Formats: sequence, C-alpha cells, structure tokens
Amino acid sequence: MHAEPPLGGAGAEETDDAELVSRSQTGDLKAYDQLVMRHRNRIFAMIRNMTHHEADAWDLTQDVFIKAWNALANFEAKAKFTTWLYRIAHNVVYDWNRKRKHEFAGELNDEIFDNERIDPAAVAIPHVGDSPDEKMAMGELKSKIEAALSKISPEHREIVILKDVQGLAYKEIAEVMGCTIGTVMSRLFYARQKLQTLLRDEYESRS
Amino acid sequence: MNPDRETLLLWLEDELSLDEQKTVDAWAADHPEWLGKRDSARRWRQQMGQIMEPAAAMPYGEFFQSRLMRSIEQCVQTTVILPEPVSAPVSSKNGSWRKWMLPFSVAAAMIMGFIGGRQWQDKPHRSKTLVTYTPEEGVKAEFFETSPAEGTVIVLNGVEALPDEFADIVSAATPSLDLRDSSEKKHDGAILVAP
Repeated sequence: MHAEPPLGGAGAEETDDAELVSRSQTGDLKAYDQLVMRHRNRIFAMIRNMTHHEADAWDLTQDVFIKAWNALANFEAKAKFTTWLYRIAHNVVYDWNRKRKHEFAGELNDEIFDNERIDPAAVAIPHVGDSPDEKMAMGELKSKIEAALSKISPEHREIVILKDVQGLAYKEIAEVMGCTIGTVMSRLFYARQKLQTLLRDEYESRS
Repeated sequence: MNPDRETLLLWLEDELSLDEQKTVDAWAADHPEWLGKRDSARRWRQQMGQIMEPAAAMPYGEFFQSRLMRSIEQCVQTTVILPEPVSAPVSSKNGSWRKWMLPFSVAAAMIMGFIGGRQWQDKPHRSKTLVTYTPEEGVKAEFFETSPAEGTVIVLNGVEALPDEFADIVSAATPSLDLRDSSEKKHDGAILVAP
C-alpha cells in the first residue's frame, strides 16, 4: 500500500529527485511512481487554486504527470525537476483556460507592463491582518482571497499563486511561465495591486 | 549608495544572495519605511502560504496513483517498437511460382467471400452484436482494480452530478448505508466497490 506523501512536498528532496528522475528516464515505472507520490499534492494544490474546481484539478493533475512521463526523455538534469513540473502544469492549465470562455480577454496586455515603469516605492503588498476582521476564521479568509483571486486574470492569478502560495523565486516563475524576470516583476506588481483593491473593497463592504 | 530598482524588488522578496542582502540591509537601516514594506511582504507571503495551502491532500490518492500508472503502462505498451519481421529466405524458383499464383489466389478468395456473404445474407439469422449497457448517452465507463487499495473502482465519465437530495433519499431507504462524508459526493463519477 502506498504511504501518503507529506504535504510539505519537495524542497530538501531535490537530490533524491535527481536519482528518481534518472531511473525513470530508463523506463523504471516504480521510480516514477515515487516521483508522482512526492509531487502530486503540490501540483494538485497549485492547479486547484488556479481553476477553483476540484474535480477538474484532479483530472488536470493526471494530465500533468502523463505529459511529464512522455517528455521525461527531454528533461535535462541541470534543471530543477519541480520547476519543470510546474512548467508542464502551467501549460496544462493554460490549455484548459483557453478551451473555456475567455472571460478576461484583453485584460492582460503585456505591452503595458513595462518593468521600468514600476517604482519600488509604490510596491503594493496586500494585507489581510490589520483589519477589523483580524480574527476572522481561516476558512472565511480563504474564501475571501479565493473570491478576489477569481476576479483577476488567469495570468495574474497564476503569478500570485506561484510566488505567494508556492513560494517560487522570480527566476523560477520566469522559467515556468516562459517570460523574463522583468515581466514577472511587473505582473506581480499589478496582480498584487488589484488584489489589494479587491480585498479592501471586500472588507469595506463588510464593515 | 541607493540600490537599484530590481535589487530592491528582490530584497523585498528575500531573494538576494547573502552579501547583497547585507548591503541592502545596511542601506535600509536608514530607510525604515522600506523595512516596513519588507515586513508587510513577509507577512503577506506567510499568510498566503497558511491560508491557501501550497500542498493539498489529493482526494482518492490511491485511485489517482493506480489510474495514472495504468495509463502510463498502456502508453508504454503501445509505444513498444516491434522488431522488423524476418522473412525466411526463399529460393528464386519458389519465389517466381508464388508471384505467379498470387493474383489467382486473391481473386479466388474474393469470389468465395462474395458467395459466402450472399448465402449468409439470404438466411434468417440472429444478431450476434454485443450490446453494451450505458445508463446515459455519452457516458464512458472505465473499470479499475487497485490491489494496493484492495478495491475496485468503476468510473462513469459524463454522468450528471447527483443532486444533494439523493443522499437523503438513499439514507432513508437504506439506513445502514453510510453517506456521511460530503466530500465523497463531489466525486460521484467514481463508484467505490468493496472487495
């Protein structure tokens, strides 16, 4: 029987990943089984946060690991396996979003995102702690944030999830999303700004 | 000296190397507003990590794993490259005889097939077509046996979600049936069968 993987996921296990990946590349299914066990909870959480749909996230996570298996021969050991896996998840979710109605068509225009225009002094960090609802239950807080996230574009949502939830660095996010670090910085700036406005509106409407 | 814009953004996210971090920390000591911004950024990331779950327990984890590995095994089996069939060496004499006979053999087989088909059509016969029962049109059934989970799972893709009232109806009709876990109702496409 499979042991449930720790929810903490990857991290210090990168060295073991390399060995499991190299065994999987030779066709060792047991090694790949272990790799999946190790990373499935993180990939599932990322996709669920992106799609807000548990059943779809479950199926899309299956797709991610099937695609990863098929592309494993092209994976180069110098890259980080988790970043590569996030990249596949990004593509799978992107395709899923494309098939759905384009609710946010036109909202995200990279031409307006000029990294040079960001003033670090204007950096907007959303906050949820110092409001009258500081002691709001975690579940309620989660639904507020989820509601706010669902109102921003999929690209903005993804960047917030990868940075603030999954804890990836700017450089890793750039690899996952296939863009420059400057673009990641700009998108995160605008995404947080929007999120801050949405969360503030949420609190003001409650008080 | 003031750090540049990119360095400041990286500093806010704690992504600088140790040496760079020390340099900007020294600069920030004279700019308390920046220390405040970094604290806010750290607090936000910590809260988001706690609230939004960077890793979530996969529902039906065993089933997920066995279904995935089964799909991969099927992929592996279908992509196995078969060796080139080795044909037995044929003498040139036999070869020429076979070449000469081939068109006649094909023609004879076609005629036999045509006559056989006509005779079969003329006779009344029972249909031997297998009938597959599907509860609804467009429903695809898949069957899985998971030895680690010691269970059997039948997945009906395309079945409409069961209404919540269904559980109450079933509970009332069969008091022994336990439908306590509401999260299981969400996956009503999968039917878990006890071993």
